[in-house]
Amino acid sequence: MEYFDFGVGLAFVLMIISTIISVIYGAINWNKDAYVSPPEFVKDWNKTEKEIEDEL
Amino acid sequence: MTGMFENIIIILYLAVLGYLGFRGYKQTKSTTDYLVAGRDTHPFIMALSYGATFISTAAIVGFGGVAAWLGNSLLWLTVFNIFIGIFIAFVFLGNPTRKMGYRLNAHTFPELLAKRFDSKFIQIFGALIILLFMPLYATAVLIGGTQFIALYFGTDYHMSLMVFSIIITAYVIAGGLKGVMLTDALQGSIMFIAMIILVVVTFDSLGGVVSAFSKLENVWQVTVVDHLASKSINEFAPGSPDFMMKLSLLWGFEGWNSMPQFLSKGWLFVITTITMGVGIGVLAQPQLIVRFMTVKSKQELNRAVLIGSIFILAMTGIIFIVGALSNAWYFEFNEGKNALQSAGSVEKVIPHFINTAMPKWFAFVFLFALISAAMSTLSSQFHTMGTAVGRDFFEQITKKDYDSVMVTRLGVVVMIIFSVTLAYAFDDEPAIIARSTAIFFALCASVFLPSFVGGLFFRGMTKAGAISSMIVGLVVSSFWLLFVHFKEAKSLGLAKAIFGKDSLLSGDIIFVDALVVALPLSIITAIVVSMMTKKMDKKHLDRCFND
Repeated sequence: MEYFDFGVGLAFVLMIISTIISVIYGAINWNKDAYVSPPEFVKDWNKTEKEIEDEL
Repeated sequence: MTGMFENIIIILYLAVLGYLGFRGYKQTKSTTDYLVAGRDTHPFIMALSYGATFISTAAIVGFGGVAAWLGNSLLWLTVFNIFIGIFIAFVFLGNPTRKMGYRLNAHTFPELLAKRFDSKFIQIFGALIILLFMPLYATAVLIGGTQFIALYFGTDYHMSLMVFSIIITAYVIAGGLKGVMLTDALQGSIMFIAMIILVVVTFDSLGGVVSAFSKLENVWQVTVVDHLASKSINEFAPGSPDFMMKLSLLWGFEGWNSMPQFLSKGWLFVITTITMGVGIGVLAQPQLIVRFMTVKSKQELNRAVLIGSIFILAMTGIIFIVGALSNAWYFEFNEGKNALQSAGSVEKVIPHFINTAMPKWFAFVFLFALISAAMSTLSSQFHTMGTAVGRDFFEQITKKDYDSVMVTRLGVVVMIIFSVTLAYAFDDEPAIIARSTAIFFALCASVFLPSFVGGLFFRGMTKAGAISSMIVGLVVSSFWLLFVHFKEAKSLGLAKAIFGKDSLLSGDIIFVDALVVALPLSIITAIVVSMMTKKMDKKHLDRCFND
């Protein structure tokens, strides 16, 4: 790092830190916030709506 | 024999692209499939598609060449690309965009803003901004890609442009966003592998990481300071290698491993135009935002943060470092010259370096990476412009119930013909690549960002606030580009024609990018007008914000 001045050295460090933060965030949350199927009554409502639309 | 092998690889590559486009076509059964890829895209595909769309030939050839000229100070752009373009975008904006897009059944970025603020004007205005300015960016990418193909195969530029355009047209029209994202993922993978090989070979040829960086100081001293410090810039032809290096000295640059002097012309150029213009502008890119609406849950976005950050580091991080280090390589292996002296101009450094410093087989691999970078960006741009014509403009103006996909496909063809025509007209102005990228990114930020972020997070933001901030962003950006900024105002010549001088202002302020002025004014307008105007209907807001 001694070959960079402060400004470029800081950019280099922040570039690596940003990547590490993103990798850690992605790894920790890899299996979180998955899609949850809508409840049955919503599926029924969707089905009914589609039938009405088809009819129209 | 080599030519035969190359031809087989190219045919195989086109065949795989054709297959992925066909897969996209087979999977496209509805408007939602065509416009937002059915909202069920795999996180790997989404992340690579986002990254490959983000990184074009402009980033690799244009900005890589700028790094050879101005050095590692460009790494600030990589910091912004990763932290703002990936982390902030995916963690804070991605999920609210996805959810609001789903709740409001929005299929395009202008449609999302229009439905959030209940305004058809916003949808048409957003479409017009895309249709007016995106072709310039697309043209720059098209020229970059075509020039490489023509150079490598020794074919005519116009013929190469025609073939290149037809291939892209085919899979954008057939596959919609599904086809585009599948091909993006393949192209992103090729780009990633090529960059890793590039940095390894570069460091190896310069004796390792520490040795490579430490050589730059001596090269700067010998080829720039000792050679140019006592000479006047008027002694050199404008645009020539020595002219450009002398300019960097006058702008306050002190070496390829150093930042330019604080608040000097060079500092304002690197920080406001390159770093902030592109780094912040990415948050309001219509062709990137629509990708948040293609996934079915936040989980895909979480995973894409990991994949996307590594991808961007491998793209801009590596090409900027290699660009700067090419000076040390040329000094060592090309009779003591720096990169610009060896290649001839900023835009030629990366292609020249690849063909000179790398093995022949790698030049071929890298050619693929560049074509891939151009194709992935172009296909997404054409898809976005097509949806702007079909969905956001034509459907809103005519108010008739057309086949949305058909009109959009027609829009894609119209916009490709328009962009290709521009590429024919501007083929001798390659310097346009990096500039038009920065202009388009900064313009999108000034026009769209306050309404986009305000619309996602603030219930109190009103329709009048959104419209007025978009208009202020457009007017101020255009004014700054036409009458103030040192480069655009001079190139466009309007200030000279009306007022008799290149810029209405003088001093270092003319080096400040339009974004630095236009974005704060656009934000202030959004806040003040929203506070002064009638709040939006509670039922409408509940529909926007509540599940």
